[in-house]
Amino acid sequence: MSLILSELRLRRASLIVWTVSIALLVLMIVGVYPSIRDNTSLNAIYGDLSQSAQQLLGGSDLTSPVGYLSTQLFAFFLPAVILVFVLGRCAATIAGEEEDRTLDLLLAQPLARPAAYLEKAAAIAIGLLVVTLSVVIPLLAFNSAVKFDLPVADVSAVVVQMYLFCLALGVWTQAICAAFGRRGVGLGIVVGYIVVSYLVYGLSASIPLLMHLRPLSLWRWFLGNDPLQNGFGAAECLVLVVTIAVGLGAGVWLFGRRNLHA
Amino acid sequence: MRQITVKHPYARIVSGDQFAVQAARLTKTYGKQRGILDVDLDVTRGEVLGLVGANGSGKTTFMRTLLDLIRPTSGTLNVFGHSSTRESVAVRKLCTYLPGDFVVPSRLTGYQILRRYSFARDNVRATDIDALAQRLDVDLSRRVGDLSKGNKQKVALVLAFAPRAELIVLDEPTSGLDPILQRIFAELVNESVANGATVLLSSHVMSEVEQIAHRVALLRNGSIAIVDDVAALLARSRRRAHVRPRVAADLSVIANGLADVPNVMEVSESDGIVTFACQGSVDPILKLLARFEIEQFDLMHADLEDAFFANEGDSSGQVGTTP
Repeated sequence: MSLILSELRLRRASLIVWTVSIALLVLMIVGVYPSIRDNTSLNAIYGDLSQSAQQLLGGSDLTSPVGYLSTQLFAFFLPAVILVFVLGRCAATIAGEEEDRTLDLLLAQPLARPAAYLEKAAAIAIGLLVVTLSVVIPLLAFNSAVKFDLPVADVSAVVVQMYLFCLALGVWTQAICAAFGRRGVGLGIVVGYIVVSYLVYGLSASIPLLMHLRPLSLWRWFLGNDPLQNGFGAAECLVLVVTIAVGLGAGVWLFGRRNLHA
Repeated sequence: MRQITVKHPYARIVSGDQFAVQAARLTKTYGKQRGILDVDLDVTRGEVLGLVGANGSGKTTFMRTLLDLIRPTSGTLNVFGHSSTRESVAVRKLCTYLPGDFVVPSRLTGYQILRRYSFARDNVRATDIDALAQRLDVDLSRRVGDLSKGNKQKVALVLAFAPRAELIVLDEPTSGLDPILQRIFAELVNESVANGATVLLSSHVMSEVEQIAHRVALLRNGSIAIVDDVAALLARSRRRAHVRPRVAADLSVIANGLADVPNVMEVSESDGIVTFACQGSVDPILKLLARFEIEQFDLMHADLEDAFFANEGDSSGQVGTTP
């Protein structure tokens, strides 16, 4: 528990900057909506695109509340920004400290390695939660004002699934980085996976062969059930939670058996 | 045998062992880096043991294995009876550690560093921290990045000595300290030992260790070359001396006289000075010199390094050889 607090304290300033920045970003995108809401000609821009491209961009409807938020926020842009935050933290928390040669001093304290690993992961999960709340609060605060009028349950669904999606990728980043004691290895592998799995998820709409690979893409389990439209997906949440749990277990095991770099 | 006294808060988990540290055939090899090989080493409770060796000789590897930061390839290492691998949390509860390269986030203040790197210890008191900081004359409210190397090392010393640890593990602790602080450091070590702690410290400079340690272990290429009492090593070590008589004619007489003294060797004369090496008691030398009018007499500090190499010479049949 003490390590969670210590981690949060150590990275308090950057968490505040991230939270405020993302809240402003969401506010800006929400604030633009009233000016394009009635401009249905915009729908033609995405309407001419292929099915795959539409899937990659979050649909073809730019003017309905669901379509606008999907294309402008949740399909790629917002998760990408939040992934920069969470992947950076997950790479820095063990491998970064090891590379900076500060980890020895931290783990020379009476802390069990698995507990230290999990407390560091928990601190990141809390940080991610704070950042995610900075998305939810402006969305719900202006839900009526900009005439989104979306059900709170549906907004919660997409945000929770995004939280689980980002956390799952973060947990695996932490695990791979901690397994090698190098930031670059984990970041390289996970960023590569994010890009490839994003393409698989999008292109599978028009390339039948890729449909078989679709379940391997975490994007499918984040957006595949259109949570902003249909609410929580039980299977989606379950897959993401299991991915997180397995990632944590793998990380604890891989980190626990290693010799730390001096 | 040293009397065992337990004064520390962790008396409950400190077993009645005589040894603070026991390494048996401890081996650590990893990749291309040299580790340690078949190290047998016992550190008696309440003593100061100096690990000496060149860079890469295995000092840091031994200390990091003790703290379970790296795992032994074979052999065992126990700290107060606790296995360094299976009971590593109990081991670290009893230890504080000062790494050779004290790197901490530079944006944090001294107080924040102490909180970050000792929050899991329940044997740290704010009053001890402040008293130690005052004694070392370091401002803990300043950012570590703004401190000089010496002041940074002071923060490291506060981190190592403020908790009331049973075993204090110090890797190259005096690097960056000026002579006054080296003296304070020696006092801190002595006081910790007086309070029942055991100290394991490393250095690549023998003279630093011989001032503080009760015993010294020399590591060479990952193996223990020799372990012995500092006092015994000093008694065996050779000291160099220079004598300048007032009357030049006495030069040869003194040189010939010294050559006949059993524990004197390598006598030579040049530029009005007789130079020689001696071992053990200087009494016969002083009695000889008392017969002459001496203008200058210098007896060099005994060098443990000489003693080590002399001992190694013993084992190879080259008594008294120096590198």
